[in-house]
Amino acid sequence: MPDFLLYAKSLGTATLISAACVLISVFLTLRRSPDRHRRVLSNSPPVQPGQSRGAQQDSSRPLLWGAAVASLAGIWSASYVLNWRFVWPPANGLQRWWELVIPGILVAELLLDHLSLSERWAWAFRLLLACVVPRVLLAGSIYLEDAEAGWTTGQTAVVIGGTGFLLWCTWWLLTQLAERTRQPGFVVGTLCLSLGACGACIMLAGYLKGGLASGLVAGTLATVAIATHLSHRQQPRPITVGLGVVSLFSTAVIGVCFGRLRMELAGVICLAPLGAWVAELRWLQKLPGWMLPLVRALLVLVPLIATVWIAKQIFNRDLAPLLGGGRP
Amino acid sequence: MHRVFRVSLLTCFVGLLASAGQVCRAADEYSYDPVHSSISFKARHADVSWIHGRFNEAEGKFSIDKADPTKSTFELKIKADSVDTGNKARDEHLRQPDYFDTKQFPTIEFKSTSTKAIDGGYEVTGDFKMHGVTKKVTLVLKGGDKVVEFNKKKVIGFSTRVSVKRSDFGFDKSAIGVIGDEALIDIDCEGVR
Repeated sequence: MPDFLLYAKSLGTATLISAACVLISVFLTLRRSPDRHRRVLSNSPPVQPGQSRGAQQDSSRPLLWGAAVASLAGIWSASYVLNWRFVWPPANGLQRWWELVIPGILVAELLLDHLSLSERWAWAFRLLLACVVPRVLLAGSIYLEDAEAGWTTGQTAVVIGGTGFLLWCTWWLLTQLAERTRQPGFVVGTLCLSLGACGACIMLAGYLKGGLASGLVAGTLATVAIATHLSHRQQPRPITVGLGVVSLFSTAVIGVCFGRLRMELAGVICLAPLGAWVAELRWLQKLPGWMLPLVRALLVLVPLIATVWIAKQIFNRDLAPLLGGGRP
Repeated sequence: MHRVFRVSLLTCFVGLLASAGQVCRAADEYSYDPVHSSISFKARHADVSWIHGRFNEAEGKFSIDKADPTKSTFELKIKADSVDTGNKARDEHLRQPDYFDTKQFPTIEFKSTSTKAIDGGYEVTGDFKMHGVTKKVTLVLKGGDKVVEFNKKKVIGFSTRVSVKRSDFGFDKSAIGVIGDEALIDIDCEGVR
């Protein structure tokens, strides 16, 4: 049976630990260079005339490191509260997501920042990462290992390549949207909501642990975004958007391939954050300032609410009767 | 006359070798007969009753060495996806990662590592692999004392019951809930050769 008190405890722990990590990163930045933090807090525009890319990165680097450590610490501390022990080598999709994919994405983003690659090369590297993620999640499963019940080489290439490409496109489009919109936390917010919706749908399809994991990542991500905004007046976009979008696709892949989440619902949830792009249409841009964020939010929320409602109807039809006398 | 004697001697030698080969044949190999075998399980529900289920698909083989029972071996591979509790929705739920995770761990396997003869059967210790976790388990196999011939095939049978704790095999503790942690697995199988 779902233990909601334990879930609340784990979410609370993730929130506290990740917020504490962000505060520690602020403290360390202040200790090392008070000027640097002041420069960050002054909310300077992303590209200053005459400011070198290196100087700009230098000011955002502590923020990225703080966000990366906070995300990982928050997620792993929540798993500790839930008694999900670190298993090596990871044996199932969920363990591979938490132990390989999440740290992998965070390390990759820090590496990209450290190497100062051009945007083109950085996105080429992210395309490679996006294609590796589904392969890692499905490792050892019957899809890849079973000669009879599994996929052929062609099917594997189409599924993994297609999912990876879709993930990369969504990643790129959301990064562009985050740079266009004047609402700093909007894209991360939509990703957190989508992760929450995906978790709810996976739970309603009968996979409690998978749904819970998705909710915990959403909670941690939201905490990191809010804490960094409050402390740095900035968003560590490569970390929050990257982690958010990769986690969203990871949960969807796990839910569809290992759980009973319907593919069409997973597709709608993964693409729902892109709905906010509709608000970028020229005729919608003429709307009053207060209305545009509302339209943007509705464009994301409506499909998410619809998918959760459909998942609840399927649950009522298939699984709720089992609860008459207890869980199966 | 001398040549006849030599040919007879060689023939006898070859005959002796052939019969010795028959005697020294290591063991009788049997394959699992899915039609006349059954693998069922039961677990406590809400600590008031039992829920029953079975696995409909399995394969395996065993070799029985009557002369030296310690050389007998047993192997069984159950398809976790074939779980059947008489309720389709529940079966689908049991296939998910909170329970058997059949897309990741498609089989439940037993492979013997040591065997000894006991009164009325064999005591077989081996590796029991379920949900990606392997543990040593000892089975007490009853039967094997009688081999019958049916449709020109030799048939042998064994029965055993094994108790396993799901939490020992990495099942999610929060999903154990009202279904008891302990499951009793009954295996009644026939082997044919």
